[in-house]
Amino acid sequence: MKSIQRYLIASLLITGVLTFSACKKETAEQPKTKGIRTSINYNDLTATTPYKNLFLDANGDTIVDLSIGNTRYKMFQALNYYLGAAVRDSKALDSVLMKNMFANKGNPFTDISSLNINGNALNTSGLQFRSIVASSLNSNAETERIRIEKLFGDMARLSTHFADTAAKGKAGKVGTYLADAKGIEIAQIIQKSLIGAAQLDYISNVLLNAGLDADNTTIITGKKYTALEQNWDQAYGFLTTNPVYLKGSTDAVRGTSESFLGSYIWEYNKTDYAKIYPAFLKGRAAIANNDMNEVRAQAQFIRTAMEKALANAAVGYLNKWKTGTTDAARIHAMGEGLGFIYSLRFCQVNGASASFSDNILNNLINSQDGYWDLTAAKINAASTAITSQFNL
Amino acid sequence: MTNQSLISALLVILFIFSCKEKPQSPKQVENGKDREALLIHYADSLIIPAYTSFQSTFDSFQSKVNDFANQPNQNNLMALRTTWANTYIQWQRVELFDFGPAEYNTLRNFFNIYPADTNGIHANISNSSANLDVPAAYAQQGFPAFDYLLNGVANNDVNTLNFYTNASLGTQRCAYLKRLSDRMGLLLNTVISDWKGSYRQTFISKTGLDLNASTSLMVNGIVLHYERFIRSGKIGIPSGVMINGIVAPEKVEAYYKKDLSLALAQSAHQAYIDFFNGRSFQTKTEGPSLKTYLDALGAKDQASGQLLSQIINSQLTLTDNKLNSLPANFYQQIISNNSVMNDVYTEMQTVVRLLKVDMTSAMSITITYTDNDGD
Repeated sequence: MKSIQRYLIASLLITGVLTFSACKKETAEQPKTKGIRTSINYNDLTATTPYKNLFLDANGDTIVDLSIGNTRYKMFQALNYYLGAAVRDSKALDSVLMKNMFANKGNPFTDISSLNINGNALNTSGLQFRSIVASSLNSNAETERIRIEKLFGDMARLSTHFADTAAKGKAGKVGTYLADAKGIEIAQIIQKSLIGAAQLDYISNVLLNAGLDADNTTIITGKKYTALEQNWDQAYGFLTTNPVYLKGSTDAVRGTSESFLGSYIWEYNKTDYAKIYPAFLKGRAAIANNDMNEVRAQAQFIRTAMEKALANAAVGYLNKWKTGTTDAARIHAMGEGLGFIYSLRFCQVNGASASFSDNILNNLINSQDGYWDLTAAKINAASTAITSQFNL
Repeated sequence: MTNQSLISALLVILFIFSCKEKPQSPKQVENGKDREALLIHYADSLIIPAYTSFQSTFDSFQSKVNDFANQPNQNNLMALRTTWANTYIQWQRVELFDFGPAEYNTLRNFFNIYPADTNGIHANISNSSANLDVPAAYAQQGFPAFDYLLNGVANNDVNTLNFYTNASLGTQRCAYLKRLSDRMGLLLNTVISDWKGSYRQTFISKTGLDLNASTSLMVNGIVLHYERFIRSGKIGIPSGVMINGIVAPEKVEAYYKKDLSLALAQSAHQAYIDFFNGRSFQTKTEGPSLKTYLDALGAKDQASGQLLSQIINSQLTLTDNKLNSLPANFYQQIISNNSVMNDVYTEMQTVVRLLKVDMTSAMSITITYTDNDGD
C-alpha cells in the first residue's frame, strides 16, 4: 500500500503540473523574444492604446512610421474629392488631371482644407497610388489600372452632363448624382473599385500576406524600422489616419472619422469592427516579439473581417435597390453595389476571383439599358451568388 | 486491473476533465426574450393566417376582374369596384410583412406604388409584352393602376364602360386588366407558398441578431414600412410636409376613387398596432411580440421609468385617434384644410423616432435600409 500511496502523491503532483500547463490558455502568454526589440507583454495592449505608443526603440523613440500608408490614403481622398466636384461645383472634369493624381505626375494635388490635405506634401512625397493598385496580381495588375484610367475618361465625359437630367438612354443628373446613359454612377464605380483594388488588395493580399515574409531582423538604413514592421504600419496607415481606429464607436454611431474601407468595415461588419484595432495592435506587438504565429493569426483575422465587410456591403446595396423608392436612390445604390461587386475579385481569403465578380456584373448590367433593365430577379441572383460564396 | 492502473486511469480522467471548458449552463432563455417563440407566433398566428385570408380575398377580386374583362357591363363594373376597394383595404393588412418572401419578390413594388403612371398604363395597353418587372413599371400596375382603370379613365360610368367596349381598343384594355390581376395573383401565390413551405422554418430558426437574422430583417421591414409607406406615402408626401410644404393632393392613395384614402390608412395603421402587440390575426389575443420582447429587455424611458412599449403604444393610439378623425377623402382635405393632415404627420413622425431609434437600439438591431455614408 505504501508504494500505492507514493504513486498517488507523485501522480497528483504531476497531474497538477500538467493540468496547470495544459490549461495555461487562460493565463497570459509571455512569448520568448526572438526579435530585435524589447518584448511586449500582450496584456499591456488595450483597445484604446494609441498605435504608436508601445513600439519604441532603445532610445524610447517611436519606430512606427505611418506616413507612406497615410499619404496614399490622402491621395485617394484627394482623387475622390475631385470626382465629387462634377456634382458639387457643376463642372466638367479633366481626365488628364485624374490620371495624373492616380500616378502623381505633374504636381496634380492641391490643398483641400476640409480634408486636411496639403497638396505639396502629396506632390513631393515620391509616392504613387497607381503602383499599388491590384499589385497582388503581378503581371495582370496593369489591366486593372488601365480599367480605372478608362473610367476617368468615362467620368470626364459624363461630367459634361451636369445640367442634363438622366433618363433611360440619357446621361445626366438624377437627384444629386450623375449617371451615364445606362444609369451607372461612374464616380461611385471608381471609388468603390479602388476600395477593393487599392485598399483591400494592398492591405490584405500584399502587406498582410506575402508582406509578412519580410525581414524582421535588420533595421532599414536611414530608418528606425525593419521591413516587416513597416509593412504592418503601411497596412494600418492605409486603412485609417486615426491613432485608434474606430475609437469610441458603437453599432449605432461611428466614433471616428473614417473613409472608404475603414468606414464600410464599421457599417457592414458589426460582428468584427471593434476587433480590428486590437488585432492590428496585437499583430504589431507580435512583430516586436518576432512571434510569427501570432502575427499571421492577427493578419488572417483582419483579412477575413475586411472581406466580410465588402461582401455584406455588396449585398446591402443590392437590397437598397429593392427598397429605394426613387431612381436617384436606386441608381446610387447600384453605383455603390456594382463597385463593391467589382472589388470582391480581390477577396482572396474567400476564394473570389475576377470571373466571380465579372459573371455577377454581366448578369446585372450588361443589357442594352443597364440599370434601367434591372429586375428583382437579377438582383436576387447576384445576392445569392455573393451570400453563398462568402457564407454570409 | 491492478490498483495502480486503476488509480492511473482515474487520474487520467481527472486530468482530462480538469481541462474541459467550464461546463455551459443549460441554455435558458427568459420568457419574453425567447426570439424563437416570438418568431413562431408571428409566423403562425399573424403572418401566415393574414396571407391566407388575403389570398381568398384576392381570388374573389381576380374572378371579378375576369367577369368584367369578359363582359364589361354596368353590373360587373359595380361588382369589380366594390371588390377592388375591399381587397385594397385587406392588402394593407399584409403589406407590412415586407421581409422574407415579400421582400425577396419585392411584392409591394408590384402591388401598391402610387400615384399611378397613367401614360405608362396606356402605353402598356398597346404593348402586351411590355416589361412589368422593371422599376419604371411599378406605378403601371397593382391596386393604383386599377384605381385609375376603374375610377379614372372617364367622368361617368357610361363613358367608363365605353372605354372597355371601344371597338378598336376595348379588347386590349380588358386584356390589360387581366394581365395585371393574373400577375398579382402569381406573385402573391409565390410569396404565400414560400411562407407555407420552406421559409417558415428558415424564419423561425434564424434567431440571432446579426444583419441576416429574422428579428433583424423583420424589424427593418416593419420600421421601413411605417416610415416610408404609412407616414410618408399616405400622409407626408401628399400633404407636402416632405417636400418643403408644397402640397401634392394628386399623390394620395386611391386618388381616383378619392373617398377611400382614409379607409386604406386606417387598415394599415390598425394592422401595424396589431403587429407590434402580437395580436393573432384570427383571435386578436396577444402573444410573444415586439412589445413583450421590449418589456423582457427592460426597455424604459430613463427619465420617467415608463416602459418603452407603453410609450410606443400610447403614441400609436394617439396617432390612430387623430387619423380616425380625418375625413374619408384626403385629396379634398389637403386642398381645404391641410393642417389636420400635418398634425397626423407630426404624430407619425414621433412613432417613427420611437421605432427606428429607441426600439432598435433597445433590441441591438441595426437599421440597414438607410444610407449612412452620406456620399
